[in-house]
Amino acid sequence: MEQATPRPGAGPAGTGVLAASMRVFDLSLGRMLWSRRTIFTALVAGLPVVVALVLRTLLAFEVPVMQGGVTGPVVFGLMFWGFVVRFAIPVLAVFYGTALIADEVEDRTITYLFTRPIPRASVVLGKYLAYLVCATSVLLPAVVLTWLLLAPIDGALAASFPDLGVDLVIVVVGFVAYGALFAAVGTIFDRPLLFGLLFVFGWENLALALPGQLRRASVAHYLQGLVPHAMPADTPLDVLQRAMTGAPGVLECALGLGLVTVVGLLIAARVVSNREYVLEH
Amino acid sequence: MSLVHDQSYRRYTGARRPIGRAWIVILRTTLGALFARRPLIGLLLLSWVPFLVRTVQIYVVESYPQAVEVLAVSPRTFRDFIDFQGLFAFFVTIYAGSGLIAGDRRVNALQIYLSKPLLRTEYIAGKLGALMVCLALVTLVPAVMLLIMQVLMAGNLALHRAAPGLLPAVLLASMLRIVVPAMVMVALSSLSTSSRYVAVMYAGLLFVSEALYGVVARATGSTRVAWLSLPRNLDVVTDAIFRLPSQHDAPVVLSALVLIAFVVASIVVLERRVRGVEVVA
Amino acid sequence: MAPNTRRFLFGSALVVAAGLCTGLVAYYSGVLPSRQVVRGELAFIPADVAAVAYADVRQIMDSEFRQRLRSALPAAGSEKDRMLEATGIDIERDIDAVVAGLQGDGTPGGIAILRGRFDRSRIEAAALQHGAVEEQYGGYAMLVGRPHTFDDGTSSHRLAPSVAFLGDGLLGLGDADELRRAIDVSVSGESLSAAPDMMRLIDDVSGTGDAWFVARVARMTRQPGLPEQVQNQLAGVEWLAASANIDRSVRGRVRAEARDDRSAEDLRAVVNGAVAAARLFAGQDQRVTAALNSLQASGSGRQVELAFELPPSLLELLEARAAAAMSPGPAAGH
Repeated sequence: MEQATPRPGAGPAGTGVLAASMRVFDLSLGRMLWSRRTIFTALVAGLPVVVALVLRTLLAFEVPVMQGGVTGPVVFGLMFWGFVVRFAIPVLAVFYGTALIADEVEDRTITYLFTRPIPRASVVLGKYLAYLVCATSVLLPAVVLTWLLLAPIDGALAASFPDLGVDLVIVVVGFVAYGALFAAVGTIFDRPLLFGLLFVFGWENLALALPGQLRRASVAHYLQGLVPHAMPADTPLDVLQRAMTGAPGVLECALGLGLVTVVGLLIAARVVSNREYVLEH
Repeated sequence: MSLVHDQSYRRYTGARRPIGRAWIVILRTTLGALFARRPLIGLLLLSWVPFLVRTVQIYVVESYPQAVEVLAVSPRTFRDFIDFQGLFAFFVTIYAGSGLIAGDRRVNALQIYLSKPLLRTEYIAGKLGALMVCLALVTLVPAVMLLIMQVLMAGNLALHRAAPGLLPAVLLASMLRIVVPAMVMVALSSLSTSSRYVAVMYAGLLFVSEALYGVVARATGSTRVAWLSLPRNLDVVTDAIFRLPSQHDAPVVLSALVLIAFVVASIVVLERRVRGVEVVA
Repeated sequence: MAPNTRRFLFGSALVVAAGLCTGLVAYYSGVLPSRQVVRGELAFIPADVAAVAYADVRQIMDSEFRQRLRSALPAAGSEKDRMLEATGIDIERDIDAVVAGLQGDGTPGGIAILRGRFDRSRIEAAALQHGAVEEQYGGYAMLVGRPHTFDDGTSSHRLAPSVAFLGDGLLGLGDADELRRAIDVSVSGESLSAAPDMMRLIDDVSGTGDAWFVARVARMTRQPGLPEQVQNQLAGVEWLAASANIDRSVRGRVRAEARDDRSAEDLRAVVNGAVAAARLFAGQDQRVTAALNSLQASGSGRQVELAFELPPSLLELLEARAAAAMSPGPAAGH
């Protein structure tokens, strides 16, 4: 009697995708957290805190740094846009997301992972969860600290607290959606980083500044639609984006980000399950 | 019976070139490797689209004098052209530059290179030269070509007579946007063995410094702090080279000093990181 | 999970939790008192009013912006004198805060509840001098003025401007019937606390500025004399809330709640377009540019928000214009 050959991506019976994902998550989290990548993440996340500290120190010495009636909550809003929404979330997602599988291929360790009796999709899912925990555990405290330092300057913690709650949700949701997208990109393309940076700094900036519906083909449209702070307009591109961007509703944002996440993860899992990885010598 | 290779020490039997010319070998092989990548070729071709657009602008202005009101060709046209090419220069710098030294460090090729009759400076010059050639193809060459097109289409040198410093300004501004990013990228590339890490570090340097400038400029209500941002420093110095009024209040000398500091820091990093022997503590 | 990884995650969660707890404590201790301050006044505002407005008069009068505005527009002082002469109330000295309820629907009625330190004998003397009569209603003393016929161009209304002494430091101003109704709703409980939608917005804006305003737009736009173009633009807006913080500068926030997402998108497009156009067509004056740069439109879903700031430098421009307007003709030409 001929025995059926299992597909390369399928795990043995009894090893559920979720259970296996949690094992991969447990294994990957420590490696991911104590890597050079986290140093970069900490630098990116720590800079707003440092800037806020410097501002507080200068104000404590009565140096008139805040001009034109700018208050602490306004500066916090600017920092959230400049450092977090437009840079940290997409770039860290590109950085981690594209490396989920690419790192294993580059280090030639993917073979060892695939020899384990677990579904291949669980490798992607477990590593994706590890990235989420790793990225959010660094950025969320930084956002909270920055808010604690800045919001009381000519403002009130009470008044800006509801916005902080939304900000923290945006950080998590942003990592979820961008991470899933770039996890898929990392499994499809050989040089995913260039594609990721072109998408974030090229396509998304262009799409948001163009009239029509092109902006719906970007993650930034849905993520930036949730931001409670006023969008800064320092450059002509910013002004154009602000004029063109009709902020989508919360439901549209949730649907858009949810769709990107689900589709991204499904593609990543499918590609990893079906692809034959031939390591170059 | 198989052959047994003699693995013992052998003298170098090749022709010995005079010191100072080996960098050409590095340049040639690096360029060969870079131009073998199709995405880079695509990126280089894409970067010539603005040249075509500007050429059409010049044609329209020369053919229909009434269009001068809207599409006038002046030194600012060339300054804006060079500024716009900065976007392509960013992607080319990342794609072509991030792996220049990181790739060699990853496979421990640096020690092999430097065991040959090749000076460290020659190795760096070769790598730097390769990136500068790529950057010249998106900044200097199209800018000079645009100047030539303007003269050919106008059939006179009126623009150059009106602005005698235009050609040197175009050359100098283009070189500025080649040398500074190339030096910074090559230095960053020597800091890591991962080209992805290098690419994200470079993007971080540019965008975080830009976000920092945005926040501080809004808080202080002044653009004097443009020196905080690497791209803004390039803008300030470029405006000065073209003798155009700057959009920023920042002193030109300060911006120039910051750019020089970046170049000096890059040289120091390269001097420390590019060594034949790496001492592991 | 390795112990150091666990420690890191625990530390990270601790920072976030500590920040959120601090925010929560600040939120509940910082916002509630300001709500309680106006609660006494709101008890006299009927639930069916079209708009409610609040101003911390003391804070505004003491602000640097107000001081500079007074020097820029000295004519504003004559209004204060007229009020003093008619009611015996000195706006700058007597009033701490004011809450006003407007009827809308083309009805000119409305009441203002003032909190402050009032000289009852002076107010009574001024009112009686203008022909008012004393009256007791619901346990409160009222000074009911002589009725006047008021014509708004479409219909005429009969109003009797009156004053009611509503308790310690509280004074009601408005039409006699409106004041009687205010006293009724404070007893029956049919005041604003029975209008949850309005209270939701009041809770949002109270405590965010020295002055705020919440309105049911559909009823406000039925006011006679409002241009049709403005009525059309506001047709899709259900609620309007605004607040302003007045100190050295005026920092404000206007929030509109549209009927549906589509109307909100249209309104956002209008606001964004107007802001962009204003920037494009702004003159070279740095002060105007600074004020325009402070305009920040945002919002999502049914919400449209516009934040703005009128910097002190804008007053310099106002002062210069006022000086130019008041200077003799030939000199102004030079």
